[in-house]
Amino acid sequence: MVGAAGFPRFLQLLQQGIILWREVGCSVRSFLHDQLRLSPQFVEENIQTIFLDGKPVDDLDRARVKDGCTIALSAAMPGLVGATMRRGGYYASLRAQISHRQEGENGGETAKGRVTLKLFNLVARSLGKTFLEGGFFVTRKTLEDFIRWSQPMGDIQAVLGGAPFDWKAFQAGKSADELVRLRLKIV
Amino acid sequence: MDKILRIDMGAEAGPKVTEEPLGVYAGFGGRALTSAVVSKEVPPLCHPLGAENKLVIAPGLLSGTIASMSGRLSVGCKSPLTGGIKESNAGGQGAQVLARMGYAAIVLEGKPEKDDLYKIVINGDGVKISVDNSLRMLPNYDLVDRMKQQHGEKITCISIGPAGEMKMSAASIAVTDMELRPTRHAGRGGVGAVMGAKCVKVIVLDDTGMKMRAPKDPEKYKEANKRWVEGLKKHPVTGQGLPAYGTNVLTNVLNEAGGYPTYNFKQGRFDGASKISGETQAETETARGGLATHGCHRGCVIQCSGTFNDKDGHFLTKQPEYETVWSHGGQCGICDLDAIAQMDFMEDNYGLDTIEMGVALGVAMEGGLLKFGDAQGAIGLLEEVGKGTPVGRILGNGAAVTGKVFGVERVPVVKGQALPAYDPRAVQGIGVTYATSTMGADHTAGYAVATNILGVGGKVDPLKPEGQVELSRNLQIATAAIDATGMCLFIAFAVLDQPETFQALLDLLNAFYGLNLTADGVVTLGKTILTMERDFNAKAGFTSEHDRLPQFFKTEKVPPHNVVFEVKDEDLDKVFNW
Ligand code: SF4
Repeated sequence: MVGAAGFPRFLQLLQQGIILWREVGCSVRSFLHDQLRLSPQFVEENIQTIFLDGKPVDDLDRARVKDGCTIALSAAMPGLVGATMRRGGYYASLRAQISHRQEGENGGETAKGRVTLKLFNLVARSLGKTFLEGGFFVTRKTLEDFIRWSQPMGDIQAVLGGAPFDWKAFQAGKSADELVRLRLKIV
Repeated sequence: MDKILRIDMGAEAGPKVTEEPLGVYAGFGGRALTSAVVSKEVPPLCHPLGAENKLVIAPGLLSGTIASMSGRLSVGCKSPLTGGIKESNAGGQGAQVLARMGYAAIVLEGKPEKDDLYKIVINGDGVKISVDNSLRMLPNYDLVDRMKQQHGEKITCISIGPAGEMKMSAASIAVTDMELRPTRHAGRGGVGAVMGAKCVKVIVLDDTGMKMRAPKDPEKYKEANKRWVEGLKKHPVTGQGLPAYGTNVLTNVLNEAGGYPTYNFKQGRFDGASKISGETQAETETARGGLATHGCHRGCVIQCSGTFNDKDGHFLTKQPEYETVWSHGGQCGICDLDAIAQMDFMEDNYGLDTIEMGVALGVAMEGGLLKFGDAQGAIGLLEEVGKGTPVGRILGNGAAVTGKVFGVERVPVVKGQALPAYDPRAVQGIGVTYATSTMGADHTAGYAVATNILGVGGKVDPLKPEGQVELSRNLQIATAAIDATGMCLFIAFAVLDQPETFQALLDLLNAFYGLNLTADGVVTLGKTILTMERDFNAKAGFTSEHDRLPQFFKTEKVPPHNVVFEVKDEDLDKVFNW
């Protein structure tokens, strides 16, 4: 549980990436609309910069979301390089060597898979609450880093498996890659 | 703004002041004016710190008017860092005030025989120049406090810190902001060292009682400014993204793209990026009672700046820019925002370019002087720069000198100037600009993302290097022209997407000067500026061999994309073919 004032700190987790289990094998557009439930209008107007595994995407219909991939969503960015990263933008050629290469529009079967979702800047401001309250996974290492970084915890109350959170017990002998499920309640 | 103030610092009987009409420089402002004066009056082979070099300080064509965003101040000279022509510009109050006082430029010429330090005060009573050796080695913040005590709170200061006095090649010239803090700097190219060589510590401006500059057609001007402001406010980048997060909003995006130079350009991603991102910075500033949205001068509607308070809520520095956060962050492997803000303050105070210094620190880390990630060690080295110890003087002379002294091969400079925060292997188009800019590696040399609106260039094949060459050429032309207007380059995003906002900018120029300027005229102005600068550099000894990135960008693959810089030399040589 966190008070409204403490909530923005959790946007840090969205910058580093939260893990979701969703249908994959579809196009980025379909993933945003059908799996993340973002309206076409929101995507069109607010998400001008999209990375799939670190590669700027230009055509949402010709980039496929695969198991284990990372998707990052951002608003339009300043600077020449900000403009360069924009999807389908006039300056896209300046980063041609790292652009996402287009794939076929019709992929294979869809199936449940793991996707790391990163939300930046105004996109995180708009959607962060929904994703954090809806529940997500992070690696134990990410959570440990976050807890260390956000000291003092102030108005944050943490509950683990119904009992008050115990930092020592949480750390004891676990793998850094193990996934932890979190859900935020803003009070 | 119809006169030039010349101050001959080397005159026999002490500094001599003359005022003259614009003459052959009529129609020029900002970078156009500084580059015109330098290319016409400075011998290209002179020593940058010698009497023959000139320091030209010029507001833009629209500075000092009601036009929003028109407060960039250009500073030009032969650069002690690059050995070529230099224009470095800053925000702050300087351009607006200088323009309202009627000056199109201040030109500092000559060099005093003795090493006395001078203060220049310009107000309604005229120009007063006095020796004040008590100012020696004062850092910028202390200096401005002293000026406030002596001249009141209504002044604007243009000054150098100890780095400029020590004539370091990374020395900047500080310009005070709305709060009378020396936070805005003409940082690049060592312009502060040239002011130091002229023995001028500070120029104090007081425009009390002076009015806004009057346009030829006031009604049209007012109406164009209204459309201009509306255009800037409605665009998502200039109306939302920049005000909310400042330029540091780019950290996460560049990092995700694998183009965020890390550990002295060894890799394109930094694990600690989210800890120093614009999002985290804005949240930290707000939580500590600072400001995440603030202008650097009156009349800025975008307000990309802010104030960064320390953990106790006291002012530490202005909101560090993306370039500054990167150069001390990813470049040095430091993920501590407080340490980065502390270094930003120190560099403003000593009068240093934050890009050059951060890159020099990263090069020193690679050379083994300290470990990557050692924030306290980096702060300690900056203290040495401020004091002028031998190690401090090495770092204060920039990344190239530091690399040479510590035997480092991977030194990210072009024409002696450190690369900014975008890896040219990931974003090859910007590598073309870094390589070929007249200024040395400079991201702002090709920043004006308005080439499509200007209609420069033809069709570009996105997958061919020629496309990148052509875009870089057009960006450099557009940027040079905007640099002449005094407009902050961040206007370019609104201009890029909204033709009506570009038209509003043209209408501002036309209504002010009674002109009929079209997009073609803007392109011609940009080409004229670049041609003057290229000619100067050629006469100073620059050849096509200087329009190259360091070799390691062509041979070392940068992860995660594992790409090298692929644009061929012969293509780089075509950038200025027009
Ligand atoms: S947008 Fe930023 S840099 Fe430009 S004038 Fe405003 S505060 Fe200064």
